[in-house]
Amino acid sequence: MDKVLRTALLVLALLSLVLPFILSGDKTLTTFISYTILTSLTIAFAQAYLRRWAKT
Amino acid sequence: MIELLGLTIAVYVAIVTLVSLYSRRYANVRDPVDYFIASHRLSGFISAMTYAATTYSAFMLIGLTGLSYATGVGALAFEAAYLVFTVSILALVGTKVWEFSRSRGYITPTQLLGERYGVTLITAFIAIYMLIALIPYSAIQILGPATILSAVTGGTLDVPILLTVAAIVILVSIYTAGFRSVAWTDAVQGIIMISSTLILVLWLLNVVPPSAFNVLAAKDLLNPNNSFWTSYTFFAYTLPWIFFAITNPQVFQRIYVPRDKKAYTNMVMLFAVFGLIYTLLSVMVGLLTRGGVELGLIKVSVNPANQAEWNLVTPKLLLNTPPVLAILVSISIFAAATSTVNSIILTLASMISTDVPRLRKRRLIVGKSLIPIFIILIYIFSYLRPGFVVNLAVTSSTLLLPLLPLYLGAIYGYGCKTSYITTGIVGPATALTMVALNPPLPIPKEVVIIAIPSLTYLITSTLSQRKQ
Repeated sequence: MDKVLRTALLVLALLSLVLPFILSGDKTLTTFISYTILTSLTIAFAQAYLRRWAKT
Repeated sequence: MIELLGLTIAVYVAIVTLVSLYSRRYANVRDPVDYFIASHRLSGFISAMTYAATTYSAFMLIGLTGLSYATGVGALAFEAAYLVFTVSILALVGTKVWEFSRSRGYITPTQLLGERYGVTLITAFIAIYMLIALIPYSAIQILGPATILSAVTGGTLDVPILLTVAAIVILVSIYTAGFRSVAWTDAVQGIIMISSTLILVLWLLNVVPPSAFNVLAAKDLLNPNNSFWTSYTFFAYTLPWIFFAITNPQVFQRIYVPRDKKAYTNMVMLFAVFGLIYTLLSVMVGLLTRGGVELGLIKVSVNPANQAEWNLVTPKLLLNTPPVLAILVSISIFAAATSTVNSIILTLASMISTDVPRLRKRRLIVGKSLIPIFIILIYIFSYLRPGFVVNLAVTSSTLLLPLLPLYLGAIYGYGCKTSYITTGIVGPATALTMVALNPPLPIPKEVVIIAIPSLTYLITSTLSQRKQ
């Protein structure tokens, strides 16, 4: 489980670096919404990882 | 207006003083561990707020807002990438650092390097190198809000007076109880920062209609990959910041302070939520202001094509808002700057007094003596603004980038004495050379500043291991 959470956090971090190019050309509020979701997901996965760590 | 501002500043200074004095009840100011690191015993909430207030400086409502105004939503991509990386680093790497700090009783970030690699001289050199990178940065941090407050009053309150107020706030928040008073005042200042920015966004939403987004779209400002945000620009902006949690000592040291694992978890979560909200609000201020200007509803005479004017967006926006809101936001920017600078000064004082060998025996006296010296240096640099200080200030995070492999190697048990000494010299030399010469390269110079020290570290570590 820890490995899954670690991988998810790394993937999200890398995604934050390529997202502007995936969304290239978009002229709506998609970027705003996408980065809010991406950051929220990172927070959720980090919380799950830290809660497991805190129990050890 | 001037009376109201004077009163608000007086109330702000009084709050900082009272909170500092209250925090002293829990402090043991004669113990260096308590003075420099609050005996590793802060709650999750106070740890989170000091982490957030230290991380988020005046850059947010001056630099990021101006960047969003001029270049659009790409500014959000840049700042959100920083936050995503920081939260991931705090979860994956920070937990290890926190455990080290508990088992070894570390006070300073450089102590981890010194003990892990066993080389005192290079550790002292790195502590002094960090000082060179961060004191000019602190000077410019203080100068920005002082200039804004002065502009809001039409120059009635001049910049030297405001710099003096900032120096007093910083001195009180550090001297009263060391790390505890810094952390507690950071918590109060963090609340001021986020609440006043929220009120500013609500005011803007009331003034600027949703049709402003159509105007922004027509100007390609909702496209994260527009003519400004090319891949080169995006990475040049982003790379110095995504490893900020490791390379900048004032935030790295904050990983040591939560009292237990639960407090550490709460620190990361509360900081992350604070960061997300504050980032979205700061970017929205920039975008809504631009929309309002394009629709003729707000008067902000800033030419988006002239990068030198971007930092003037917030000061000029505040001339449109009700005076009370302008003062509140100005004070919040002032709070953002002082809460960053007080943390930097205390961290630097703790590092120099702990990690420079001859000073260690009297580290508390030395550390306390260095604090006013650093504040005076910052005051002089802010006032005189010599060219080299401005150059160092804008590149401070870039200058700290080459320390990344040293920290990662120390945390994950890789590398050796040779790799530490070699990279500890090659890294700063590479960064200083690249910043000074700024050679035209097909890739951002930040890539080179990370790559050369990392390769040096890997090659010397591998060669040393083979030799052994």
